[in-house]
Amino acid sequence: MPIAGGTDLLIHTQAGLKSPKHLVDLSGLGLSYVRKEHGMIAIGAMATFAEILESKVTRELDCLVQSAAEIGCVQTRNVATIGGNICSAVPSADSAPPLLALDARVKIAGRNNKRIVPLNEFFTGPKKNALKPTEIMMEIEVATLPPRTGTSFMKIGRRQAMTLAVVSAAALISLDKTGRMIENVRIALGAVAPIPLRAVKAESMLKGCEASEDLIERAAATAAEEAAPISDLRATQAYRRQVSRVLVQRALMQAWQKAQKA
Amino acid sequence: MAFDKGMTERQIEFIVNGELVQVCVKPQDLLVDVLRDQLGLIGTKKGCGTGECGACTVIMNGRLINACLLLALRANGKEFLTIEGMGTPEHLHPLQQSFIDHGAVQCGFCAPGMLLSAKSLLDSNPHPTEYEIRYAIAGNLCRCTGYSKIVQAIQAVAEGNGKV
Repeated sequence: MPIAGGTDLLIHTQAGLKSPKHLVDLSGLGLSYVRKEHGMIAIGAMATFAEILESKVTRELDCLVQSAAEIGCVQTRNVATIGGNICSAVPSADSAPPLLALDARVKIAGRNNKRIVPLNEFFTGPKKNALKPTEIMMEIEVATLPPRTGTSFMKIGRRQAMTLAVVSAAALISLDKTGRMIENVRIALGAVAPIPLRAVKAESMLKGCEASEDLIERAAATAAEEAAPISDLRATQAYRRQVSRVLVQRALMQAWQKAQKA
Repeated sequence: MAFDKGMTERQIEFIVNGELVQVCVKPQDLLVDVLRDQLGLIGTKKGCGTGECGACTVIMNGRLINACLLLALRANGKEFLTIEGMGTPEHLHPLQQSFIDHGAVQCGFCAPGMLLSAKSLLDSNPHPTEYEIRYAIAGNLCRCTGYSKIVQAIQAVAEGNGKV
């Protein structure tokens, strides 16, 4: 079993939930980079959230930086990796909604092959991802933001810090040259479905339309309907559905405001 | 631990509080246990074992980490600061003095981790706001003080009432 940062895996091994015979340390593979190449932003799977927060390269990716800042605490972020977070494929993975909103692609390497999977297709179920047993994630890639684009991430949990997401949402809005029409939009929700998901019906309500507070409110309501939340020890289904609407609305409003200033 | 016991021991070396040490560790050993049990550095505490309380906080290559979530093998070749390396009984670190002066220590269990987090903060941000202080110590739980005195103690040093 590969080990990245270990801040999640070692909790499971100590609790007896996982008993690997061997751990393969991924830290010697040179996958800790955060760099720009060919107009894309490439984040190595072993890049820590601290490195993502500190990098100038990722600075423009507001929604990702916002989510990284809310993962765990300083001690976690110095060790936990983006690859580990995504490959855990927990529905509440904090870096998933921003990366979905950014239309990220996952670069994968196996024994004899390399392939690229859109992040949209990478989560296959709760704690299940598209990696085959002999594959590892190498890198997450996103395009640099086009002009007049704003992104935002919102998370609500049981407390203000060191908290699992009860609901999370990320939004990206790109405006056209007039600054009035929504040329592109992506909305992603976390912790309210078996996998982090894109709210595609809400997106299609907005794409190509004139941006307005009213339209955003209606799109947020649709996004909440696309969620499939459950009741668990952290929150009820009803709460999650209600808060999905609120967080999507806020994330869209913030993304819109930022797009207007961009 | 759920790993197979009876795995081969390996020798590693690392620097802790300025001193080079060599220890034999099993693959499943955690840094917090090596520090405490093999090196006698019991200032680093074990609280939750899941990286949520920060009692095991140490500084590794200049970065704050939870020693309960670091496999000892990964310590090889790295440099660590534990609470024992912060100030001396004769010359306390300004943060340690400030914690005493402000009543920021009750049972003392969180204090080693809390002080290292505070030091790490002030090393990179010498004049943090109250929000930045609370954000920086968010990974260090205190069951006694309610955090007010801890924040005040850090603020006092940050505002220059004690040199860092």
